[in-house]
Amino acid sequence: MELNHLIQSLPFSNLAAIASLVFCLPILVFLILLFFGHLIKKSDWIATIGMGLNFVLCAYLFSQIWFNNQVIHWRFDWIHLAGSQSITLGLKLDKLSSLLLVSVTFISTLVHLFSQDYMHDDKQYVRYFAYLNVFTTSMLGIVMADNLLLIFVFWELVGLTSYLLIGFWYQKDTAIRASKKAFLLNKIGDIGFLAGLMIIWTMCGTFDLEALYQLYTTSHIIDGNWVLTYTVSGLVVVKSIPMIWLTVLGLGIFAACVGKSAQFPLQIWLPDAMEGPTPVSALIHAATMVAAGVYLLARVFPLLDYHVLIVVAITGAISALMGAYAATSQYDIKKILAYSTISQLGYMVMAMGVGAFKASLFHLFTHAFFKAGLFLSVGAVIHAMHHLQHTLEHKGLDLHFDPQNVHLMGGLRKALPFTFVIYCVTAWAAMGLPLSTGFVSKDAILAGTLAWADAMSNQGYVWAYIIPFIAFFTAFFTAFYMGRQLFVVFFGEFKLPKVYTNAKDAFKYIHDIEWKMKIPLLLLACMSIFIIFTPNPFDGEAGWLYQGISSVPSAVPNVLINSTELSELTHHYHWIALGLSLLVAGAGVGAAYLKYGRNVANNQIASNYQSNPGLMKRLSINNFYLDYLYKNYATSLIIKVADSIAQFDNKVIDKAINGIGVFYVIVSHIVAWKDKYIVDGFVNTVVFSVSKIGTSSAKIQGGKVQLYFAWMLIGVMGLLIWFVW
Amino acid sequence: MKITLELFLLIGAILFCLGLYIIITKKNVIMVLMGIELILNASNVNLLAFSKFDPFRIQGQMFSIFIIVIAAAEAAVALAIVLRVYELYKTVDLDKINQLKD
Repeated sequence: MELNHLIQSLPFSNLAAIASLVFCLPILVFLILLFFGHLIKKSDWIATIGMGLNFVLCAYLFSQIWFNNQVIHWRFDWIHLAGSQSITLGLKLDKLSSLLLVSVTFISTLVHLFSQDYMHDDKQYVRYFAYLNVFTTSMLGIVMADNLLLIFVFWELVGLTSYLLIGFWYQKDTAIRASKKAFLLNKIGDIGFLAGLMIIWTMCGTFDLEALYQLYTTSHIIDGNWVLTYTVSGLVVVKSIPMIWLTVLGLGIFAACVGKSAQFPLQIWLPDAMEGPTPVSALIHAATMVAAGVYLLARVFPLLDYHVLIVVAITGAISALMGAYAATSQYDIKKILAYSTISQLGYMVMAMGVGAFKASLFHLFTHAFFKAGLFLSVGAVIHAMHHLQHTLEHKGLDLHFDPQNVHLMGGLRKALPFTFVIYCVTAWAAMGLPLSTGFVSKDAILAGTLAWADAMSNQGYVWAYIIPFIAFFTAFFTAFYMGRQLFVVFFGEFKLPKVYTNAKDAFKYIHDIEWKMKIPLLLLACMSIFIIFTPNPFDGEAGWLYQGISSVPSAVPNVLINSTELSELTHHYHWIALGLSLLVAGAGVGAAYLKYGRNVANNQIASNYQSNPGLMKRLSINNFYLDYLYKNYATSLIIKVADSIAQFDNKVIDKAINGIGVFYVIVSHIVAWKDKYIVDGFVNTVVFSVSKIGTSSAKIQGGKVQLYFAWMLIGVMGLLIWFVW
Repeated sequence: MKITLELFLLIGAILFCLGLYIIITKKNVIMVLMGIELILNASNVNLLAFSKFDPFRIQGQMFSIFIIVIAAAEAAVALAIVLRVYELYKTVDLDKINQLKD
């Protein structure tokens, strides 16, 4: 297989031009806002309309690609190294990426619209929209890139913009710390990505995904070595490497996904990232950026060998369970959703791991919409609470209550009826209850895990059944914490006056949101109804998304489970999974109702001030003490190692360098002595003797005539003697 | 005692040597000129001595007369030069007239 043929340049088409425009438009808006934002009055509308236009363009691209079944691929040589393969760059849009383009720009547009009201009083209003745009660009870059190197570049850019937006309120100390934490934890994962890229370059000599699939499919396992054979400009290249590196490569790339998608053990940045503005949380930390990890997994899915996939499945399952469990007792309204996001992303990652490729992507899209909807409706609640705080301040009541604390809410369905309806619809989807998109996609994932466990146990891995077990357990918790949030926030009595007794009639000052916030909520709620994705509310496979996206067969030479076998088994387990998931979701909501729905007021106030919560509850509130563990063990270990290295540096390396310095000084003194007395002495002697000869011979020509005459005489005598002799 | 050719030649040699000695050692230019005269006369003595073997044509004696005449002319020219030198350097000390070294 000729590598140069695989990565040859591909022509620029009209659709590629539109795609480039889609990519460049947010950059343009970003630059305009950055440099002229303070001059323009309606800068928010520029950003919103720009993004809306982008959405329209994406929708056009999507329709072209999806219905005409075509792929846009434009590729060109970027770097041409002599004696090596060239590095290509390119833009590739297939069905999956065009669908993601649409959803990213759609949610981004809605978040822009929502932010116009939400962020209206902020001083840094323009900067906020500029950041949103640069984020969208980098996200579109990840989606459009046709090779891993380019994905890596945008991956880092997304990390940067996430950092900027989490720390948007840079006056808040917690926000700064949260942004740094997110950035650093993401970097840990990205190191894995970089390592994976190095191995790929060494083995394949290209980063182009399409070429990589081709190369992988022709590779073999020979004597425990992974062997690739291809030709570069006619010369045969055989690369062989121990098989473990195939796994290491996959794990490296997966590490990047773990960082970005907030999976165990790097998930602790996501709850802290809630320090950013809520619309940002909706766009970045729920719908798009965190989904980039899953998208990357989908892109490299055929390149992962089964060891990696098992790790992926287990990591996903652990994150799903931990996130869901931690979400059950958070009291910050946004943190509940943050942990929920970790849990849902865990679902997707787990689905990738078990080979439920389509189910994972299906859930990626359904989750993007319902989670964005949830975040925005929660944002509406926070907005209302903020307004209440301001109103009370105007009335002379200076209460510094936390507007995000669910224990101060309750009964808001009467004050915020619109938000309540939207929240119910999206939470319905999050819980995985019938007639919602979440139900269909979650069911597909659950069926996938059951099928995988069955197939694995046929291969002798009976422990694999723990994965579906965890998945169902998580489904229970998911329904439970969503139910808890619903009941605590929207049902019962308004609890603020119970904590702050002087705010008795605060409830009547709470107003529902403006139309600019309502439209995004309404659209996102609509996107959470099953009919958008599938005509059959109980079977996602009938839907257009399932039909459209084709799963890619694994390209690695060692495959454990046949994908056709897996899909047959998934079909077989569909109804079982459906029944079970209905059961656990119902049980979860029921448990939440029993605990929080009835008699909410007393129960909540009591638990709010409960002095000594049990171990399980403390584990949940503190997210299994992961932060504590990292701070006290991992970080302190790193600091200790750094200290000892610094000590080693001071004591050994510096000493050695100083010793070498002293040695050289001594040597240089010796050399200087030798130079002065031997080399210079020799030269001086020569000079001295030459000058002596000079002066003595100069005397001969002293200008004294008699002397000349005497010399002449001696000469003549000499000649005479010589002649006569 | 018969005066032999060797005695003539000896006197000539002595004169020559004296002339040489004077030329090399004396500081005064006039003295040096005198030394030159001595050397010329030494050659004259030699010519006269050898002309004894040519009694008919007395070429040697003729030569001597020419030499005496030329020597007189030479002395005149040399003394004129000495005068010029003295005008220029205000000295006739040869050790001080050493501009040739430059």
